[in-house]
Amino acid sequence: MNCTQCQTEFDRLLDGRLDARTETLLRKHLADCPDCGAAWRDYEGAWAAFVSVPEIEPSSNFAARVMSQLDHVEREMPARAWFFPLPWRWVAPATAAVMLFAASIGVWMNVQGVAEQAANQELATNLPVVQHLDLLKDFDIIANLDRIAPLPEHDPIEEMMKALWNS
Amino acid sequence: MSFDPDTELMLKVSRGNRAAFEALVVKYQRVVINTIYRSVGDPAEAEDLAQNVFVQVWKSRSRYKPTAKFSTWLFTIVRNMCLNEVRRRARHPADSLDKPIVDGAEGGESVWQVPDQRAKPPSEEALAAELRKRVDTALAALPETQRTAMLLLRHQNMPYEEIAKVMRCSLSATKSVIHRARAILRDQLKPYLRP
Repeated sequence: MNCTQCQTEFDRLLDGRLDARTETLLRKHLADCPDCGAAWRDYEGAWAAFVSVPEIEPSSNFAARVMSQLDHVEREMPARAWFFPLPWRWVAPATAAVMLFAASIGVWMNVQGVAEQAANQELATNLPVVQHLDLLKDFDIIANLDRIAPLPEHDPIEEMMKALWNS
Repeated sequence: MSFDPDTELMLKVSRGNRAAFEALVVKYQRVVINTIYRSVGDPAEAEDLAQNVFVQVWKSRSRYKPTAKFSTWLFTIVRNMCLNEVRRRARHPADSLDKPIVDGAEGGESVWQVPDQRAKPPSEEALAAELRKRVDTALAALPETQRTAMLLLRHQNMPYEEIAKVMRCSLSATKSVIHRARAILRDQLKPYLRP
């Protein structure tokens, strides 16, 4: 064991957490190495001084005083529970959730209103066409609209006009 | 499932059993008062704060979950109480915990003054009293995390794993904190230790 290894084990030696083999090696090094031996004596001595400082004694009626507080605490707690039924830590998240829900409802109703307004606008614009279609309802052409072949994607007349223009 | 005896007592407390609570108060009063005393430096105030700690235990009894040892839970409350006191004093600097304890009537003596070698050798009792003062001063000068870790190790002989839980840090950080604190104590107390 070298000096660095030795001094990194001081805490474990002090706390009695070293295995027997390591402790034997460490003790041997401490006996052989004057520097590590002196460092260990200081380290151990400071800890021993800290541990040797006497503890203060609790007052003889300390436990009784604590117990006498319990009735007072018990009386206080139901009143607090009545005034503050929710733990404070839930108040902020709960408020945020309610506000978010209300905002979502507002946005949804607003979107519904805009969509309805757009539909009404479109109906008003196309009303003459719709009325005209109503008039044609009795004819087969309206009844069989879905059977009519779709228009070609390229209009031959338009293509011819474009060719003439380009030439 | 079986728990350690203190956890069993606390489970009874959580059901409102006052006798179990009193047993815990009697068992832990000394170590709680001493741990707080080494942080605040005033025995009367330490008792008041310790009383608040136990009242807090009673108030929080319904929230207690036996996921950790009772002592870990208790000393987490003790530490929070001490931290609150430190913060309260920080707002009133006249009572600051960090102010070094200055001895002597003049109040101007350097805290780490080296003993005068020319003076007559003091008695054993005087040396021991001096060393106690220096230990108190050195402890008060440690950062809060180091001081708390040292007190838990000294008064409670708490395992490092449990200290780490109370301090809310990793095991390796706890080991490092304790090593640094011991090294500082060694440096501060070295002039007062016997050769």
